[in-house]
Amino acid sequence: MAEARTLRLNIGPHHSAAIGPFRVSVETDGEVVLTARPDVGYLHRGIEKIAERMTWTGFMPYTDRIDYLASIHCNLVYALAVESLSEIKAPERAQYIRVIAGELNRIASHLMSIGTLAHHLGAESALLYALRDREKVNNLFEILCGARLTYNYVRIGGVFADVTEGFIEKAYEFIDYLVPKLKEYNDLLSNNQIFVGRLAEVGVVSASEAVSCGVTGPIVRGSGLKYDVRKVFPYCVYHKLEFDVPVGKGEAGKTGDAFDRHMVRIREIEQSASLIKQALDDLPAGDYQTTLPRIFKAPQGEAYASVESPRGTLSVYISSQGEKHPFRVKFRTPSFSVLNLFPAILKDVPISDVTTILGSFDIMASEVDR
Amino acid sequence: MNADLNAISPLAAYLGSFFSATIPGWVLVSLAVFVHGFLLTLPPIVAIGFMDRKFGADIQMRIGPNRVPLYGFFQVIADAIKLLFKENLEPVLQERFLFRWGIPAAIVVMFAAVGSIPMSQSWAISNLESGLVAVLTALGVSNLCIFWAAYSAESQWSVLSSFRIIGTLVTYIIPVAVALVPPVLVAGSPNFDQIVRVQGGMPWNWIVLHNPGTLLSFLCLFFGLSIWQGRTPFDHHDSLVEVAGGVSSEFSGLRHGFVSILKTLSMFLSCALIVTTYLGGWRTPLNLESFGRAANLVEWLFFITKVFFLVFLSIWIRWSLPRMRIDQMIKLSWRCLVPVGLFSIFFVAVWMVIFNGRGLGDFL
Repeated sequence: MAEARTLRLNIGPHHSAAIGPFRVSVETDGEVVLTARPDVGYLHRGIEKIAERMTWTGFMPYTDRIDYLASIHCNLVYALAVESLSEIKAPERAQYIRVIAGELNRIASHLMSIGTLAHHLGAESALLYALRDREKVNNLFEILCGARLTYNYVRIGGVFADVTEGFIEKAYEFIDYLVPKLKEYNDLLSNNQIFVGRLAEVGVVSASEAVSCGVTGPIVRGSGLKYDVRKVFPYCVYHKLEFDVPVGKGEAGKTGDAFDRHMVRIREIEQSASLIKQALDDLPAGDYQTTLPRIFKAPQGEAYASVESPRGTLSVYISSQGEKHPFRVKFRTPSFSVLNLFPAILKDVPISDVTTILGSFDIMASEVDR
Repeated sequence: MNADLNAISPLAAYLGSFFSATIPGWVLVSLAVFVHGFLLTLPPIVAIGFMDRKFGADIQMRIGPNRVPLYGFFQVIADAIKLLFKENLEPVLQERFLFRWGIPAAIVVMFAAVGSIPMSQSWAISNLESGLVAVLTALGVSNLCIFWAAYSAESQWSVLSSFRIIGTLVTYIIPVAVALVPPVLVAGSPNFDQIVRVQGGMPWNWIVLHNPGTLLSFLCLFFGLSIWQGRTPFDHHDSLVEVAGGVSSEFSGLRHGFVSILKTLSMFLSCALIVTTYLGGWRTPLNLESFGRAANLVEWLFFITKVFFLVFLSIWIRWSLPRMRIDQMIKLSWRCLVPVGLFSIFFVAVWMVIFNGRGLGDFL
């Protein structure tokens, strides 16, 4: 008797579909995936443990490395937590600058995500176009803080440097450039029959499934749930700005499929652009940081803060014993929660769709492992 | 004797006409193979490798290779030298023979197929009575050779991609075979020489514009051969993201170079096949009677220009479109290309009867 034999395939840790070292072990019957098991830990750097030996302010550059495509958000969430613990209030101008920087970073990250999804589907030029536009964001950040990837820009009680005249002009220019460019992405990808055919009804995540796995960000919004930390628990000055939270509507087939997630990202870029414009218009005069004591010690206690990073809810929980270094820092990262979805979603799908689904989830290996 | 040789191998007879003494036929045929491979086929293939890099770079807003002479043209040669000296790793395998010889066998088969396509009125290694069938067979056999190479590599990704090659085979072979029938109907023969001679130099005298049916089957052939080449949007068996490079994932050094040659050669072969059957082959609108033997060179240039135009189209498609899933590709082939191809055969046959073999160009 011939028994049914399956093939175990390791997608990763070094695979061109994985962003960073990250492994999915799948069991396949021919082209069909039967089970999938994500494996983590290839990029574990012990950032949370490092925090316990660093000063409160000195830990900031390490947060950059949690998610290097959205380092502003990682800076920001840590700064917000420390601020709420030690009751420091960042000046109004700093709050606006944080929104501008955060939204610029969101645009850069979403462009990267759209580009890599297209790359996973074989449309390699689209990745290059996305990188071209992301380059402009990097140039803006270079004016703002001198760095292009790991910004280390947000500080406890403000930001590291004030915006300059040149930056404001260039940011306006960039917004005027980017919004028409989105049509180009839609023409090349979102309206392309092959692209839609590859994404429609692939990797459908229902809203209840997403919630029970703790999934946030564009994935849960793609499933039709209007959950955005910027709206639900506003931080900085998001309550003063107007913006929409785009949700998936099942345009290509089922709500919550890969195409919905793609469209949510495209529309969020639009919203981010409008947010940057509003923040630039309303930018108040004043100080951009508060002066901290030379040896900063957060008071004894615990604090929690969360922000909406491009990948979802990024939270941090800090515990202090009144020393000059944290007692414990714990990050809750959105990509890690997404892994919970894998066994349910990567089931009875063709191998070709595994990379599509991975691309549409937009997982960041450095964020999974920290 | 020369007339006999011309019927078997026009290029050998052409080369023989340069010598005053009588040279044995087998020497001339060997010389023809050598000349055809190294002077007529290899230069266009190197040029296609360069075009792929430069056009691809242009589409992606890159500069492409520019550190070597001639706008980066020598990059192709630099790559070849690099691959020649790289370590040629070979995994411990059950079937070492197939692993070693699968890809070279596919290259030989494709070269043989190219050799039977006339690049000018007497520049073809062989003038087969049913050249079309021979080339169609070569397409399938080359796929089988690649299948052996990939399957014997024993890596999971290679084995997976070898199955995909068979999937590709069942996808393209029927549409391509069906789409090659209308030229045979128009020319009345599956012989390449006759198919080319029935066409004229001007576009409206080509088979593609002979009637609406041939235009449809031309599109069928173009997409069918894109599937055979395995280029985006149909690159299932060597996609880097889906199957980690597939066929070439276990090949390093010179063997990897062979895979690149194979891809370029398959592009050249499919474009040459389309040009010969639908786009007038080597026919030129010029009057070449006074050129004598040099007429062949002019015809070859016309032929290569048409091939390069199709290559440019393929590169353009390759860099712009996303990949279809394998089931979508099979659906496209069986639900769209095959019915359209069959319909066009019927249409062309009826047209040939009604208009007594005259094409649209004849009514001008």
